[in-house]
Amino acid sequence: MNDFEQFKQTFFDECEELLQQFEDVAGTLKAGSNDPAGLDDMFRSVHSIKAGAGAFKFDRLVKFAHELENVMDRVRSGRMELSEGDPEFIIEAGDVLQDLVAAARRGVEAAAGLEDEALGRLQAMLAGGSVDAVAADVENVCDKGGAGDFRIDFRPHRAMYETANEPQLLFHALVALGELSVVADLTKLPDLAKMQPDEGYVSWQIEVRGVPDRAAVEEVFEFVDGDCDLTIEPLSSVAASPAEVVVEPEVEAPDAKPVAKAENSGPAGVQSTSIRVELERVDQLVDMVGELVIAQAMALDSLSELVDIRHVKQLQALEDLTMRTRQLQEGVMAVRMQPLKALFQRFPRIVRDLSRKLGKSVRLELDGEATEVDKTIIEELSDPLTHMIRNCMDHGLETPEERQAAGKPEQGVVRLSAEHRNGRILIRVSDDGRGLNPEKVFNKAVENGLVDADAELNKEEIEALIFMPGFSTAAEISDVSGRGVGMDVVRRNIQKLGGRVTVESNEGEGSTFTLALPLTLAVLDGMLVSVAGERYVVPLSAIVETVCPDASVIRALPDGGTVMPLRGEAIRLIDLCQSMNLSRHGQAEPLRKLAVIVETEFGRRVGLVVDELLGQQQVVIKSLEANYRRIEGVAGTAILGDGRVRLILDIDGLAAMAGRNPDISPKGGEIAKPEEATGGLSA
Amino acid sequence: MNAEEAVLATVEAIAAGRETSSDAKQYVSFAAGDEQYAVDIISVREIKGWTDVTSLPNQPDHVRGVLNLRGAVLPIIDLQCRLGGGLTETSPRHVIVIVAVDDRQVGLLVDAVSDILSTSDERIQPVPETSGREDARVFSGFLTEEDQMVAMLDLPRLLGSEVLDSALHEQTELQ
Repeated sequence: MNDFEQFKQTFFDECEELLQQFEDVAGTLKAGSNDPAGLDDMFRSVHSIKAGAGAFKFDRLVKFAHELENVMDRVRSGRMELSEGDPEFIIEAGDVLQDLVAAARRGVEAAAGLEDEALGRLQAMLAGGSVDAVAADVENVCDKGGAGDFRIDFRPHRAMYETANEPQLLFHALVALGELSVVADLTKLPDLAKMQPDEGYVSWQIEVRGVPDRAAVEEVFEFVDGDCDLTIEPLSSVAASPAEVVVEPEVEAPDAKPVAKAENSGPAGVQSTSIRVELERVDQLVDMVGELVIAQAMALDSLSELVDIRHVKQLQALEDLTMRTRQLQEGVMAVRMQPLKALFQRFPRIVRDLSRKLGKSVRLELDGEATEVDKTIIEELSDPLTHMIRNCMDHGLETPEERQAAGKPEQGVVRLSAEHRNGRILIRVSDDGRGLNPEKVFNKAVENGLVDADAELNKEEIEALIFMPGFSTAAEISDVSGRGVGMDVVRRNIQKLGGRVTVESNEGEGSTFTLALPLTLAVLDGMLVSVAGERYVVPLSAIVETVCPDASVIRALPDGGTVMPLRGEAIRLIDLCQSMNLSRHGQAEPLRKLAVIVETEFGRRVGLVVDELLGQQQVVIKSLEANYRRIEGVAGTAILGDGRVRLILDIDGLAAMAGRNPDISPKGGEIAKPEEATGGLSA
Repeated sequence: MNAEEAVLATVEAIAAGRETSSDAKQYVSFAAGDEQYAVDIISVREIKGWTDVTSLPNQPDHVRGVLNLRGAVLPIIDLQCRLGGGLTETSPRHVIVIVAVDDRQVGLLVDAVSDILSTSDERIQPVPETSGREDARVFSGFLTEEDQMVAMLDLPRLLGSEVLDSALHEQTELQ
């Protein structure tokens, strides 16, 4: 990517943020007066987009942004008031702007006439939109009347020079607007001996005549706003003031212009305090720190054999190092963390659009937007959450008539909330709609062949059926929540992130979908278990409890499997030794086995039979697929403190394997001889 | 030679390679079982001594397991076993040759690294077409060096079934 392309990329990235900012406020606009800070934000967003688009010569985008900017400018300065219907139109105008940006990003010409309607209305607003207030009228005259003459009093602060702004360039910009005369005020200039080279001593009185409107003048000073004293007044209202020295700015400015220094004095604190970093760089850091943690644990491991009580100091130093390494790791991970706000703020618009489409009045409540999550997770959550919210609005909420009949307020509520809990993040999507009807759900699952008609399921199990593939049938796909995907896709997406999704519903009162997700995809809390001399990592999130069943309570099943009772429930046991194809090499099996009770994606419980629990550990996840392929029953790998690779078990994969006929020969390469492929690997 | 000597020899050979004629290519040869094999030196990333690997469940015999190489998890293929022989009886004297194929890294378990061969393409004989076995395609040719036949390995074909076709496997796993 060359520099230009990179700038362009940055511009589009920024556009995305700016458009979002615009949209955020646009959603809150109402007829009449509005929050001035919000209006300022909107104006600045459009202005920045216009400025960038100009640099890349996206002419249609510039033209449209210009008109929109003008309208926003008038609204924010109180010279125009939004009337009924205008807020909605501004949202639409934002959409048009977004479409134009999207077209520019793809490098294609936007559809012809895409912006025409909105552009026409913007221009109409500019032509006719005046407020009845008298004061505004006066200004309006100055704005649009031929008397576009202004007197500008411009007194730059030191901070303006420190941000490398150049008065001379501003004057040049003003020349482009109209006839210009500039008077420099040198009265503040001290003796040469006392002069600070980076102080701003010079101010200017400027008169500019024949300017189309005041906004054009303000625009020139846009970027120095706040770093100078600036007054702009229509010329007629100002008495001509005596000029002391008249000089050409070209002569004066270079002399007076102090060198922009990187000195930290002066009020330069307005700069942004965040930087943009490529995700790849952060990931490299995360990787490196991960390796540091491993290397350090290995060093500690090998040293712990050598040091004894006489080396208390050294041990303390090592422990200190360990702690700091952990802190470093947390710090680096935190760089990847972002507040969920970036994701949540898309939804007010989706809900607004959809409520119109569905003819349902819906209020969206957001909570916990400040909750921070790994960036990758945020990206991957967008689709599932959108789908769930659409689902809530389409299927969950009743029509206004139905709601009235049920004695509920006409307006439905969809709630989206997030919180941290036990090192995981919980995101809830809930509605106050009709809820799930267990009977209907069950019948439909039977109809679609997902369960036997005589199956006995409790309420939770029935509710979990909606996540089964094939539950959502073609018949009910609407253009709102349909799109050919069902809750099973949502569930799969969430699982890919190492999370789980559950539903809780009360008929007539609504449903709540809960997503439980890890905070990051890079580390995992695991339980280290051993079986037949091998060690594996079981994701802690899946573990419910550990039991030590008496051999006499374990019953064999006709298909070769075993079950054990647990508080009245029959739990299928998965012998890890068998699933992982391990041989004990003559080692005796432990007298009493341990069953780690884990929960699968369906909320079904199974017991993993292991020899020993070795303890809880946070591990750095490494993909097996980076250099190899996926293996059934294995979710990934982790490198532990001893530098060895351990496999992270995939509970659902193991449960699926155990449910199948064990005689099926293991999957292998073309060369593998099936009869040999079953043994020897554990050597 | 063991891993350390092999690395030294490789470094020397690379240095020497700069002075040899441009059409001569360099190969790292190694012994597995009773045979000699060679791979293009360009694909060799690293040579290290054998350490215990973590075995993978339900994989073909010749996939010995995975190894942590500075934070990356690599599969280790037993070359002798992969080519139809028995499992290698490993010892610390055994060597893992880490090769790169299509952005992926794989370790080949061999008995020992033998030599660095410098040879031109003409000297490499094509594989005789007598063998109907699919396996023969894992060799790209033979080099006769002092009465010994060295088989040139075609790495993508050698590793294809496990390592490179994984996209296919991922798809089937997804259901």
